[in-house]
Amino acid sequence: MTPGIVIAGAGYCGVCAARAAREAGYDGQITVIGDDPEWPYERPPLSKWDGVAPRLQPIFAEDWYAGNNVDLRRGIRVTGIDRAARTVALGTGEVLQYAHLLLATGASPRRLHANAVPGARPSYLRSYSDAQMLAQGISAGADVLIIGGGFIGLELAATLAARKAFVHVVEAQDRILARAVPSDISKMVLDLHLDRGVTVHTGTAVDAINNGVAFLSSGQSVRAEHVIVGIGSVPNTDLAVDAGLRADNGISVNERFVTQDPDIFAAGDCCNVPIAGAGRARFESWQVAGDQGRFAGQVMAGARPDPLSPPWFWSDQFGHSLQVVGQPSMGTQTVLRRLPQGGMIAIETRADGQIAYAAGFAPGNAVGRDIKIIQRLMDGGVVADPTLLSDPDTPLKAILKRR
Amino acid sequence: MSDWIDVCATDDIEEEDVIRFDHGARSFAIYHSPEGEFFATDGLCTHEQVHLADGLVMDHIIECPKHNGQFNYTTGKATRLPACDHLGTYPVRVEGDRVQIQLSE
Ligand SMILES: Cc1cc2nc3c(=O)[nH]c(=O)nc-3n(C[C@H](O)[C@H](O)[C@H](O)COP(=O)(O)OP(=O)(O)OC[C@H]3O[C@@H](n4cnc5c(N)ncnc54)[C@H](O)[C@@H]3O)c2cc1C
Ligand code: FES
Repeated sequence: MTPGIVIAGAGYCGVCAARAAREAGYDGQITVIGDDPEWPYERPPLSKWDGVAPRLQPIFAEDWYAGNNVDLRRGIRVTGIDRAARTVALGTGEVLQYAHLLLATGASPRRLHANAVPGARPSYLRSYSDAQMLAQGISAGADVLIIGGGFIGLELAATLAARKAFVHVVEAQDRILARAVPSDISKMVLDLHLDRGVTVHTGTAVDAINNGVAFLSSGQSVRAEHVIVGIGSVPNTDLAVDAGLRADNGISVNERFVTQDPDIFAAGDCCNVPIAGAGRARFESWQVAGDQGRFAGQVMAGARPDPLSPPWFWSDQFGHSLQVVGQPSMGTQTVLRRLPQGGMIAIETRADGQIAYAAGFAPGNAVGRDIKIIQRLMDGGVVADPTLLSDPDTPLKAILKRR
Repeated sequence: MSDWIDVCATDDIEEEDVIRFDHGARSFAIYHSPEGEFFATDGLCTHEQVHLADGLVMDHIIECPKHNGQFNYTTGKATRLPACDHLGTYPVRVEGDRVQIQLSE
């Protein structure tokens, strides 16, 4: 059989690549190998439970794969790459030829350093089975300590507080979500958590855990029957590095997601990619992973890739949603747009007046429409008057239409 | 049997915009296209149960406010992930200055 496209990793990036290659008319063999035993599923719901348990939400219907002649191998690892022979080895002992190989291996939770917190036996969340373990282990009334006030920590705090657990979040930085959103937005998120009974300790570390009690650097001690760590993720680069490919906070790729080896691509959470005028970045975003996979899939299929969308991210906490578009701290001026339904969008503009970034937080889905319009203003390089951007009576769509 | 159900006045929906319409236990999204035509689809996104009336209409596309799935509201076709399944569509007519949709039992 003529070698075709082989994709290592069956997360959102990997399956979007397979789909895009097929939709671009690629008629060769497509094989997707994923070490997770489940049908490819959405990761975001794993920290946002509707009720008492996480939901297993498939990305595509199960019959999509066979129906599109995509050979999905579940519960199987890719164990090595032989670049000279253009083959990958699988955990089953099989060896597969490829014409193009996409590494879509994602990321793993960043672990606490050994002995960083003596006595801690923490849980981490990345896979459906991790989420199931949390749901089975933590019941109403449990005392939960979450280390890390990032998105996953805060979403889990909201999920578990809604299940009547007593939740403490400990964050080393002086505010939550410090890396991702401006201070006005992180304050709104903080106030919501405090209002719903979550205790948040910023500027604080956990010194030790002993017999279900956590000793904090502030001198306080809090009950901590369960300890969950959400302190970011590390890209899964081993396969690439073992094959002699460069990786530095992610597998290094060019703007077409090609590694040093012209036949090997990398995309999604595992890759580190140049971004226009702003160095390089590794993203950890559902939509970015799908978009990068789609782009790589089109390139591998020999098609002209559609342009990438600006990076976009969302989070849900206590029935509120947060949406972020663009890259923080590239802007020089921040304007605040207060929404009539409650909530707010912080918009950062660059020296040239173009929007670089926006983050909004509001009840329900009230931020969605404005964030999508801002994304289009960014795409179009529109220079918008800051007084109009901050005026809740000027619909953003009017600014978009006026250009 | 199918009936024409009154929805709203034609100028209740701006051009290139959408409103929510509830009828019995069902919910719909009613669109006014840039050309001045009216269309109706199921109200909830097929990805998760989120109402499309909070979404953004650009040309003939409705973009879901939640995860940016897109549909062509004139055909119901899902045109961008994560939306995979199509939306149901319903006939719409304008009688005088009233917008009406036709629902089958
Ligand atoms: C709990 C949680 C909640 C999240 N919530 C949001 C959110 O609300 N919004 C948002 O934008 N983003 C969210 N994210 C981030 C988002 O899920 C990721 O950005 C996205 O999943 C990245 O997709 P990916 O395909 O690149 O990697 P992954 O989803 O990590 O998939 C990679 C897959 O490859 C497998 N794999 C790795 N190595 C091998 C190998 N050698 N052989 C075979 N298989 C291998 C992995 O096991 C994994 O299944 C969340 C993440 C988590 C964990
Ligand atoms: S709910 Fe519409 S795209 Fe997810």
